[in-house]
Amino acid sequence: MNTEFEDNWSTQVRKGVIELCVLNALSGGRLYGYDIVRQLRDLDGLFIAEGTVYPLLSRLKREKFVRTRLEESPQGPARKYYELTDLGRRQLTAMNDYWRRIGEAVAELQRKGTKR
Amino acid sequence: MTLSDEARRHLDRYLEEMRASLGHSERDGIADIEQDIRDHIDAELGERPSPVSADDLDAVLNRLGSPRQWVLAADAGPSAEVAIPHGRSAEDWLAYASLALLLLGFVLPFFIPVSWLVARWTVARFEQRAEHLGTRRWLLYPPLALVSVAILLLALFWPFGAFAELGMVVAQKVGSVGSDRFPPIAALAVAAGGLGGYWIVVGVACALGERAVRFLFHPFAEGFRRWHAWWLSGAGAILALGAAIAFLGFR
Repeated sequence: MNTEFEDNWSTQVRKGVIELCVLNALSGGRLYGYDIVRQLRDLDGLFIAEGTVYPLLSRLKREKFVRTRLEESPQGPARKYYELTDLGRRQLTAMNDYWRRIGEAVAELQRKGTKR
Repeated sequence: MTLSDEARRHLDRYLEEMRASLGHSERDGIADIEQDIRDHIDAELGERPSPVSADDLDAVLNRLGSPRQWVLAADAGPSAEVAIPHGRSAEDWLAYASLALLLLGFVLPFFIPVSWLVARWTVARFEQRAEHLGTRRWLLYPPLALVSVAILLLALFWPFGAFAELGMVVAQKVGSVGSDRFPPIAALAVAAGGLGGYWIVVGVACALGERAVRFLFHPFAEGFRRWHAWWLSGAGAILALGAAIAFLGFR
C-alpha cells in the first residue's frame, strides 16, 4: 500500500467534501460557528483543523448559501448564528444528490469487481 | 468571560496578524471572521474562571491555527485547507533533512545555520497549511533551539571580553594607588558595569523591536512581550549599579 498516495487522495476527498459537511450540519437549523466546528471535529475520518471552518463559512456566506444573524446569548456576548438560505438549501439538495450518485457509482463498481 | 491582560494582548496580536493577512479583503469579511474567532474563544473558554490566562487562550488559538491561514481559505476558490493526520509530505522530508543537516553541522559547522534555515522554512510551511507539527517538532526543534540559544548567548555576552580588557586597563591605572586586591575586582566591576549598560541598550532595542525578536527566535518566542525586554534592561541596570558600587567600594 502506498501511504503517501493514500494520504494525498484522502486529503483531496476531504477538501471536496467539507462544504457538503458544513451545509449538511446546517440543514437541521441555525447553528453558531462553534457548534459546526464541534460537529465536524467529532466526525471520524474528517480530521478537520478547527480554524478552517470559519473562512469556509465566510465564503459560503459570500456565495449567499448561508446568512448570519447576531443573537443575544444568556451565557455572554451576542453570538453569530449561521443558517441556510433558500439558495443554500437548493445547493445542498443538488450536492447531496450528486454525492449519492457518486456513492452509488463507486458501490456499483465495487460490486462488479467482487463478482469477477 | 474576561481575559487576563496578557491573554488580551495575545488575542489582539492574533487578530492584528489576521487583519494584516486579510488586508486586501473587504472589511465585512474581516469583521465576520473576527466575530467568529471571538465567538469560538468565548465558547471554548466561557466556562473557565475569569480572568482566562494567556496559556489557556494560546491553546485555543493554536488549535484554530495560524492567523495567516485565514487568507488562504477565505479567498481560495477550492475548499479550505484540511489537516493531514499522518503520512509523508514534502515538509516531512524537509523536517528529516533539517535534523540531518544539523548532525552534519557537527562535522562541518557551515551546515548548522543551513539546518536552521531549512527548519524555519519547514515550520513556516506547516503554519501556512495550519497544520500542527506534532511529533515532527522533535526533528525541527533541535536545529532551531541550538541556533536560537547560540544567538541569544552571543547577543547577551559578546561584548564581555572587550569590557574585561577595558577593565584591566582601568584597574591597572587605578590599582597603582590602591591595595593588591583592587585591580582584579575593579576589572571585574568595570566589565560587569559595561555589560549591564549594554543590556540596558539591548533591552530597549528589544522592546522597540518586539516583533523582530519573535521572528528571530520563532517558534520559541511567541510569548515574548515588551515587558520581557524591560526585565533585561532592569537586570542590566541592577548589574551596572552593583558594579558601580563595587568599583567605588574597593577604591
